[in-house]
Amino acid sequence: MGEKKAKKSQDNLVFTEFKAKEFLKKYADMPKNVLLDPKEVKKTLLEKKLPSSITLPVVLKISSDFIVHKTEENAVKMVCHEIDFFKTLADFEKRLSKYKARGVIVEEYVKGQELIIGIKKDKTFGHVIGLGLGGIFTETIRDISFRACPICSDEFNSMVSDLKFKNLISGTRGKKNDVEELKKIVIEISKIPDKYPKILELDINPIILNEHYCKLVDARIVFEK
Amino acid sequence: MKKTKTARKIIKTVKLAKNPKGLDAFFKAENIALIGASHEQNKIGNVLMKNLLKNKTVFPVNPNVDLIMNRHCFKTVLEIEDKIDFALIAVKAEFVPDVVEQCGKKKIKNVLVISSGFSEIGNEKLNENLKSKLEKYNINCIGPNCLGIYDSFSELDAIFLSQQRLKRPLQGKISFLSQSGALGGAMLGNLAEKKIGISKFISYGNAINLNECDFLEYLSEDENTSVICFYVEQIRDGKRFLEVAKKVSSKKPLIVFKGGVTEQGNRAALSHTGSLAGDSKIYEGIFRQVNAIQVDNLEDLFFVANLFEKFENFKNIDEKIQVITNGGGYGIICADQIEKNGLKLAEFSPKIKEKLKKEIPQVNITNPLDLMGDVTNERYKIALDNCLNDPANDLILLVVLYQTPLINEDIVEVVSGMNNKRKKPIVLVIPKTESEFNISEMLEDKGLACFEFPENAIRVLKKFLRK
Repeated sequence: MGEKKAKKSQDNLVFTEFKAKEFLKKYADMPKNVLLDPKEVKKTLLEKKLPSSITLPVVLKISSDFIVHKTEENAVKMVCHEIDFFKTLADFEKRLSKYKARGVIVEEYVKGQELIIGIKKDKTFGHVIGLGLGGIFTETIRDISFRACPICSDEFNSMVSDLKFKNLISGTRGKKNDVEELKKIVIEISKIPDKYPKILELDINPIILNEHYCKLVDARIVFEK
Repeated sequence: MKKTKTARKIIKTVKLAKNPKGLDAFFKAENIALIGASHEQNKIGNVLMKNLLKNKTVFPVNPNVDLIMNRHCFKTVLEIEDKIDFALIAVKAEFVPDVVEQCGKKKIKNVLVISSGFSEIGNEKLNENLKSKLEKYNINCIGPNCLGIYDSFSELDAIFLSQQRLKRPLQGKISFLSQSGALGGAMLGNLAEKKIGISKFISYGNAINLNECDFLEYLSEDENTSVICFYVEQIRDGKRFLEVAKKVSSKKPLIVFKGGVTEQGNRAALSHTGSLAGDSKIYEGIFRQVNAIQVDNLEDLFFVANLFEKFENFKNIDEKIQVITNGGGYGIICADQIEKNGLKLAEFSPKIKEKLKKEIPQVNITNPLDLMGDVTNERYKIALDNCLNDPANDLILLVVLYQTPLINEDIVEVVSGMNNKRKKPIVLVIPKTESEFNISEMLEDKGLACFEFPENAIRVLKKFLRK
């Protein structure tokens, strides 16, 4: 949720994408990905050959605990063609040591409605969970609804009905999104603070919802020290 | 499935006591010690004395005076021999802790502190001092920094505004809990003017130990309260509020107006209540989660409450509205607003449609049902009777433009007669006009809900229908 808070949270323990996804993998599906360590990156660039496990399009990301906002750092890029793949990889390779990166993540490209699921420790009500439109719409449209954690199925439904753009969640143009899967994920995530009361903030942004799946693409978690 | 497990966990059983925290000691008090009583006209201690004296036994306390309004004035509460239900404290803030100490020694268990000058102006030291005295003697405290409390049933008037300056509202079943005192006072005047009755009014100020949850619990158990209105800037005990408010709203409609939802409002709230107002989006979600009805303005707080009180006997009303009008334009505005607010226009059932066609052949039987400018009382009666008997609608929105020539003041009898059958809620839209009879006032006196403009009526209806 707030960018400002991320800066304030420097004294706290921050999980960026890699660790946050590790933490959250039992709660939601994620796009298939492989991590190329710096050696493998070099090798791939030298051979100019796509690893057999990769089919385009993919998203390339620098994996580093020192990058909180990948877009701002130009550390994430979607590539459709082989030529772009190697160009981007070469660009990332030059910056790996600067970020003390563990390598480059090559991730399956997933498409659908971008949503945000967030948890925040509120000073009055304790942990609250928010669900809203994610990706580039998060800050501009600010369409998000909150409930105190944990929530039940009815509460998930009423949360969705609070949103102005609720139709984008259920699906548009005759497509029916897998809302049941989203519901399962949100309900399970709303139980996390019970187990981990030290969570200050948890941002899943975006999680991608379409007719076939609901996949967590990026996340960040801040724990109180 | 996991769902039920979670649900159970969230709801948890909060037991609501019959007289939570012994608050009856305040509201059903007979013997009240007024500490800081004054014989000087218009002083707070004097206004309170006059207000209380109307119906209660008052023991004035003031070390500097012997007689107040011909009553013996005590130097301290310790001199009083009778049992005191609660002490009303209106002395300078710095004296409050000592006065509370004396109350503790006198075994007074309940105090209402009007005085301001505590955490709301940043005087944390005095606040802590008062708090420790209250804890030492296990005393319940309303306030400090509040306007007081009022109960139209027990005839308790412990608010520091004179009855000449602020006429009290009629008796009713709406109770009003307000964090802000000034706003509460202004609203009481407004309600008196609007003839909306009140059961209890509680201004709880800084909530040093009794907070919103205690009062909500109490009101939910109060037999003289059927609807609760709540003005709040900052919930004090969020975790408990989640449990208590859910329980309360399952018993009675809980209507909430939150101040400090914008950045500007928030800043004002900061300086005003001595605490940060919370993030409005989170509050909005929490109010939804506890099934409270959140309104966006002060007026609606009571308009919505008024509908709940009037239609107390109608449960689970659906959203299909039948509009009856004698002006086409008003019908169109009503239809627009109904759609805009996510409500529905009812469709006539075939049987009623046929019946209406026969009984009022000059009228086009559609919704809105336009009875036209040459409408008579009789035509209104036929239309109302049939619509009330039509299972296809859930409630009636009745527009009466009193200017049309063929209706007269007897329309009041027609409408109230139909309303008395209590078949369905009837909500009226009557534009105010300067005329021989004040039709809307006459109808309000007969217990009908009247609005001046269709958009107000429908906005309030939407909240009433919980849409």
